[in-house]
Amino acid sequence: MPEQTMTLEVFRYQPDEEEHPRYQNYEVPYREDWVVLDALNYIKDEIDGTLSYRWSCRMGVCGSCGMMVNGDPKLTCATFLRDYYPSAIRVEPLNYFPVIRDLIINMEDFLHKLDDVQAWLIPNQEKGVEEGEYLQSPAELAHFKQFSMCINCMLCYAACPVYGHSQEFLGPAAIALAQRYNLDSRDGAAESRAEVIFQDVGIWECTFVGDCSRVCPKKVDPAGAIQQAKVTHTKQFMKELLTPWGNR
Amino acid sequence: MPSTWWLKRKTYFLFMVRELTCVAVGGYAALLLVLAASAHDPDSFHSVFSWLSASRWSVVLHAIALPLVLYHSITWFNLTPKAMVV
Repeated sequence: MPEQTMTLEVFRYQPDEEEHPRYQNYEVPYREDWVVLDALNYIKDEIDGTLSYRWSCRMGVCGSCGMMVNGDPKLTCATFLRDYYPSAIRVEPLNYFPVIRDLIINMEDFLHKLDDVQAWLIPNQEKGVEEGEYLQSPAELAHFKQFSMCINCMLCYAACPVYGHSQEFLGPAAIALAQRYNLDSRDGAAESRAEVIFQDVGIWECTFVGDCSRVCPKKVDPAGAIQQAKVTHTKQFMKELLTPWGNR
Repeated sequence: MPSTWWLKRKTYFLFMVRELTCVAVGGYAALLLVLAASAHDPDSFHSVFSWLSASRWSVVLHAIALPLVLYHSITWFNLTPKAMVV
């Protein structure tokens, strides 16, 4: 019995050799347990070694292998060929990011945004090692745990039409991660993050399309994080407006 | 981004529908204001009310506006919990 095959239409762009991007078709073996990343690895190893793309863990943890699969942002390590067979699959780099080469996008913008929102723990009060751990109850952990599942895969950015319109927008993952630390009982830097996330190109740029939460492979719900931050900012604004003499 | 960006994905399209249904919500709000403004005078209230219940245009407008307002309400109640820290 002849081997079953499948066609992958892969976005190719090699700026040192060609001016414009193009699509190249590859026939790969169809296996029920293969994911799109397996097919790309097959192309790289057996057909065309010039194809470039990012990947690492192959288990939905590292967030490196995000690409557009038939126009939808997906982790290619978690997207099975069987869900598309026998139709061809189109693989492209993530939407709205500059392309460096083939399926590799430039993620500098996102990394700067993570830096801007200070996506790390800044404790209320620094403690010496001899004073022990920063303790937290399970209930306090539950406040932010969902947002801490983000793996920085940037699928939410590729799904967000607001980011597509304006790269100034802070974007779903950066705000979700800011919210993750703002809601952490051990953190005390919400006020310094506020300057960045409460600005016009922060949370208020979001129109709540909600596609970021739909495509998130870790169910982080960045759209929810942004709306929660909007409520926090509105409450702060009203409090300052109505009691200008009071402390924040 | 092309001006047809919202036609490219079902979720974008449903978002635009959700946003546009606010026009119908605004229409009902305006209608409520008209009814409230005419409430002090039984004659004018009656004329507005009889237009609402007897006019063919009124029935057509309601047939269009009611599903839009229901869609707006359902999506609004689905989205509101997202804004709450649980």
